[in-house]
Amino acid sequence: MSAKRRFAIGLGSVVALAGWSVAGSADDAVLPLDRALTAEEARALKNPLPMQSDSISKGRTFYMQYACGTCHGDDGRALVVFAGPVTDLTNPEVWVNGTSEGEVFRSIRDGVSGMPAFGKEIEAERIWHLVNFIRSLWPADALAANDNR
Amino acid sequence: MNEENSIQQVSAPERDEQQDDSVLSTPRTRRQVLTSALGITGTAAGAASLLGSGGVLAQVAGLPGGVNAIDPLGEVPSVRIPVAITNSLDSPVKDYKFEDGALDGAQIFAKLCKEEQLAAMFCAPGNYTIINAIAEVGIPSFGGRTEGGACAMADGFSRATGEVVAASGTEGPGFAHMIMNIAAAAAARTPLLVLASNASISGEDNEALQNIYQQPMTESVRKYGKRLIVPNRVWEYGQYAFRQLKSGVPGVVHLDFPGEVTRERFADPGKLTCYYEKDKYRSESRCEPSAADMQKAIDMISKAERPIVVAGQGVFQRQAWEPLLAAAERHEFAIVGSGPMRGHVPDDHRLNASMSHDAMFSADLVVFIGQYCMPKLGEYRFNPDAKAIRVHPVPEDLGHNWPLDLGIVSDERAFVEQLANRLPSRKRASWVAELAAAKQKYIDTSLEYYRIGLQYSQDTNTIHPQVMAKEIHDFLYEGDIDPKQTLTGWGGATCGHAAARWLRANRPAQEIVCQYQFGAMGPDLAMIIGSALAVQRGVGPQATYKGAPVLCVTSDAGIGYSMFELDTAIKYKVPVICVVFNNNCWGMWPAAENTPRAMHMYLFQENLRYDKMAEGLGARGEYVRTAEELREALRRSYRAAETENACTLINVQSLAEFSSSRLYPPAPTFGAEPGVGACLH
Repeated sequence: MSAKRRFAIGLGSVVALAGWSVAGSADDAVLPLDRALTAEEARALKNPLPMQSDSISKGRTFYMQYACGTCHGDDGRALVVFAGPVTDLTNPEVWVNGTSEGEVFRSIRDGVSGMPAFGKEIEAERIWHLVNFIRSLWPADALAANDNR
Repeated sequence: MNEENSIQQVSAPERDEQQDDSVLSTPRTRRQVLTSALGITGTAAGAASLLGSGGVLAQVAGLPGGVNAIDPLGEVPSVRIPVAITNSLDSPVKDYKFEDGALDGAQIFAKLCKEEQLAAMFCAPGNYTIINAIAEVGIPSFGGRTEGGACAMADGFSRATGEVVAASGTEGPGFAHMIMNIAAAAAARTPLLVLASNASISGEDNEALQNIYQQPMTESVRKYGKRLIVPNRVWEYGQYAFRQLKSGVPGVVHLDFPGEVTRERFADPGKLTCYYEKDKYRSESRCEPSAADMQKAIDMISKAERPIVVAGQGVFQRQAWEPLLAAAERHEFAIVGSGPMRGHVPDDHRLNASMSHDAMFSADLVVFIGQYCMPKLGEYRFNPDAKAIRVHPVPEDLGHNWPLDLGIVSDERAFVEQLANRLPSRKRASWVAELAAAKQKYIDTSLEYYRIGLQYSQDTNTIHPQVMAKEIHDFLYEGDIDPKQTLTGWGGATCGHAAARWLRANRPAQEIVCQYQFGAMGPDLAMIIGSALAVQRGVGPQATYKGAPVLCVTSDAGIGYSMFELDTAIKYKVPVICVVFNNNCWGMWPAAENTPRAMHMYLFQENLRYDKMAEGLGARGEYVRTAEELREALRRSYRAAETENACTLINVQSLAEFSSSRLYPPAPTFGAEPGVGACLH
């Protein structure tokens, strides 16, 4: 998929998520955005924003702005677990709700287990920047292996 | 009733009126007539008279504080406040003077506490010589059901007033029970005097009953601590305590009084070390900002386009909210409150950013004033690149956690008054508009959460936490009640974060953040009962709404820790409405979703009747499963609180599953900080 098309899809998602009533898709299939994405739907999603330094930097800023570190820690390692067991963002091997771009997007937007859904407070484009930042915390080999799946 | 010890027990004529009202509204049994007669008169003569005429239904109980009824067999006696309590509260205050004879160590310490205007003392009996002496000198004293509860009540009283308070328990087990709430008070920088003793120095190291080394146990949660070992230094160490409690950043002071100290008698005050009055052993002098620092601060604020002031606990402690609001109005900077109490920056003020979280990140200058518990970068929603000023009463903490462009050592009030006098008039229309837009977005998002929660409620015949919180909001702030009137507090996880989103603080200390910085589960109700006692007495910023009902939101997990303090609230006739969010579990149960064998540890029996338990403690009970039922229960409860000083527990039946974002999104979120919903810093 071209970068241009991926960005267009991303913008579509932004518009759709803002209203939580219409749909957008990575593959032009209709994604129901008035409910949580299924795992299959999430896996089909691709990040419209390339994982480059600019996006990672923005994602780091949003990580601070939305106080993600309150639960996941400043460094993403989630060593403090007062809110219940929290995912170590630096180690995808321990993740239980998926590690693809779309699954990470889904975890932030729709929530998982004890993690709240932030779809009403954080715009989709910002979530994609967060996805890039969070994946930048992974070991390089883990990132490569994940993208090659 | 003596003035010093007036616990707002209803006076005899008022009780007569109330009893007469109840006669009009409800028929009374013979037993009720008997017991109310005893309660109304509170005299042995009254009881004797009744015995003489009725004969068989009562007898003199012989308690030194008064006469209590013995109920006949075959009829379940009602819960009631014994006349001995009323008589105790009505008994005269003593003024300890050496001129009248020798005083013991406990009396000498109580005398010092009285001269220092200790605002209140909360205890569970133990440490007897000290608590009895403190009560006798007329310091408002309250007995709770547990030492931990008493400590939380003391903390709540202080959070609502800023005053120095004391908490006491017996040495060893009673003291150990207090630890969680001592730590909560320490996190909140509460000026709390912890007193815990019974044992003796001579009993140390020989396995004496209840003897433990207490001072090391508070080492990490106190500002100052001392086990007194030399009897004639009791006055001197009292001075140490109040110097620490009344200067700099407030904190916990822990004094131990072994028997050798409390029982030693002194006929001559000259035998006491440092026996002189408080204007000679401590000072009210405060640090003013230097001229150079003040000018730098004014220059930085003036040059900033989007400045915001974080008015921390120090602004409340130093009662500096009026000059701060004046400065904000004049210079149009944003303001947001922080700390374990809210409202010193009113939520309804146009420049308050407490709900404008999305705008906070665009602030280009952050001024922390009296922020005793500093967040790290990222824990407050400010851009790390924004310039920062911090004003703090002592220098040691400047630069802690948050990198500063300017650190100023100053009393908070002194700094704020200079700001109000020296900042030029200025308009910042775009900044004000940005704040307003962000606030509207927050309100819209909250309403959307409510709408979703309402649908979930209707689907399940239970009450979603957002619905519970919104109904409380509408009742307290959108109806007939003065929106500044009702002090509230909240705890709990699932319910707490919903409540925090919807509760408002429109005057100083209208809202108590029970979880502040420490996140203790369960002190909520006890803490709010302590706050209610401050409201009842109209202490400090609570004066305007003296006697008004208060409301506490807590969880079924939280209520397990302090429910019995309802007895304390009723005993002292403080009108508390306790809303218990009953979702049948610890709110963190989703943490066990992936470990099925662990799940049972997170769950309770379902549909527990906390309302019935409350009735057993003498409170009213309400059980609700719909928004409409909750609305009506709030109305009835508030009326009963206003007219009868009645306490009510409203049991809000909910579902565990509402804590899961996968099952019922969005699930509870921590509030953004600072502002509405903040509890971490």
